Amino acid sequence: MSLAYFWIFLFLLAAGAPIVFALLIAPGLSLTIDGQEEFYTSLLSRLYNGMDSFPLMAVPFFILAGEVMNTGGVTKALVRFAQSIIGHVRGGLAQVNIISSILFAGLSGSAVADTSALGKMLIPAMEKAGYSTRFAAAVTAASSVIGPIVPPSGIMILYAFVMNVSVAGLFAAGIVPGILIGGGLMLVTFFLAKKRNYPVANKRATWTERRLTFFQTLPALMTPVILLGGILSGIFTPTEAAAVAATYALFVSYFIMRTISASDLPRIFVNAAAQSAVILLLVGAAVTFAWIITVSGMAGSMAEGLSGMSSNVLVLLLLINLFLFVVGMFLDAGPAILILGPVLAPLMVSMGVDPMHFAIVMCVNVTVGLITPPMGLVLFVASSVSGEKPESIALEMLPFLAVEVAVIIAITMFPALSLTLPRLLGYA
Amino acid sequence: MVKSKMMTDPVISPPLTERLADALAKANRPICEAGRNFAGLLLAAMTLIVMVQVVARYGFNNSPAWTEELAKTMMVWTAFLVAPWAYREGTNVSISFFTEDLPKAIKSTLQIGITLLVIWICAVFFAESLDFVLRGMQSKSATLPMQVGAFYVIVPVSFALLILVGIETVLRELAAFVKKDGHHPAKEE
Repeated sequence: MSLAYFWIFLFLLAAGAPIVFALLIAPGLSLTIDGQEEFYTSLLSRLYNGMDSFPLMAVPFFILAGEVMNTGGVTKALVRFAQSIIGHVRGGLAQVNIISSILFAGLSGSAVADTSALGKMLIPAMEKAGYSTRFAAAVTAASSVIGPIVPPSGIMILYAFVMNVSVAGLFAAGIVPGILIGGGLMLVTFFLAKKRNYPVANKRATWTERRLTFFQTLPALMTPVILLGGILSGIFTPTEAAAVAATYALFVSYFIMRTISASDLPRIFVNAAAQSAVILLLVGAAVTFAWIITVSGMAGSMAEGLSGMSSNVLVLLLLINLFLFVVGMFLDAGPAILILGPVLAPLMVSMGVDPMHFAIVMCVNVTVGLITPPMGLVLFVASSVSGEKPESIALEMLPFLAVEVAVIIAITMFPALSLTLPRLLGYA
Repeated sequence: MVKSKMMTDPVISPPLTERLADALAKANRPICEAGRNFAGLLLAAMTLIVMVQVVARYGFNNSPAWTEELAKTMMVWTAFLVAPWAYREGTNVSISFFTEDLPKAIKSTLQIGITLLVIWICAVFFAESLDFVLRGMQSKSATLPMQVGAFYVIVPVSFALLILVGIETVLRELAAFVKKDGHHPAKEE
């Protein structure tokens, strides 16, 4: 089997073909060139079986939960709660934005959902309070990255699915890096707010007010408790937990917060199904592509090439990080994991890197790629929500990006940062 | 004006490709949207089925065997049902960075080439999927009272629709290509 598919794939990607079709056309065309049409059947069965998986079903359920929370008043409640805690400091609204992102991250597994939900609410509020639109959009985008790092996480489910790593373990491994990023962003915001004399949002909330907003937010805040508690204690599989979370979110928004009516339901389910399907098809196509990478022997030769570059595992890990960061500028997190995970992970594991450690480094890295130009989905959403140009948001975001790069380097060099928690829970 | 149009452009008349695309769209749009809406219904059903599984296990200590297979199949159907709609609406992810600044003619040629390849691969998969269904009809589902082939029926349906959407797309691209090239006076829309 020739390596024609690889060049065809690169050409199609650069030419702007939808990635899902590029992943199917490249191996198909390559087989035709080699006169091996008898393998078409293998392509089709990989495509079907790649999607036919119970663990993968967590993806549509988490998307559904996110869609419900976006429609319902959950976002509003979260922001009000964050405001009562930290709204009174200088640059308060920017800090509220980051705290809300961390809270939202525990409910949704998607950075894009985070950006659009919080951005629609907080960017106009920040503008009104006297922040520049650019800064408001930059804080929103930079903190949305926490979404898929703090569990639950759609990206981690994809990784766990293609690489056979424990989802629960990965979720546990994401908690500390997520908090590190959140803390780092808050620190940078603290200094920027002092230097630029950003406004104070409102006067300090009394403890009674805080208690009140806390109880109003409690139904929403219970979601991560049910979700993570259920998964980490082994009561639910991640897929079941995701279905429970979606059902719970529907229940809370419909019966308790009353922010969703029956007429919203069809739109919520159809939107969630459409978003999920696009990702599922990508998974199926990526599994098909991974098959030809393996049978053509390409994975092996790439691994040889990489390991020839350095025998030092740490140097190699940092090089791979650099490579993923560049890839992240052009490719979204999901496709990056589906295409490159099966190539890079086995190599690093064979060199003695803990599978869970590599998983978390790769997931965090490609997630940060969501905010790097020219191709950054979160950056684009922040731009469309704020009306500010992506490049000016990206420029404003540089200090935040520096924090995120520093966290990537830290979790690469010190595996204990991410692995201690899953080890304590018995997953690694 | 009309006369000169016909004389300078004897091979493919852009209004014709556009008219064909419009005619095709009349069928494609409602079918694709119906597929997407049905997928939404399946997602609701999937949620319910998995909840039944959870409740049955913890409430009644009895996990029904059929829930996983049925929910999984529904998920695969969701993907194949939405695929034609997603392609038609252009919601699939692609990289536009490298082609953005190319001259229009080259960009359009690339697009047409890509769409033709999409139609080709869908045709390949369509042909393969017929065999896939037939083979599936010979094996029984592990937990549901039917043949596995019944699950696979959605595959040829989806690829057939994808081909139709591909043809609609290529017709539009051809029409736009001729317009942009200046061979043809642009039809004011």
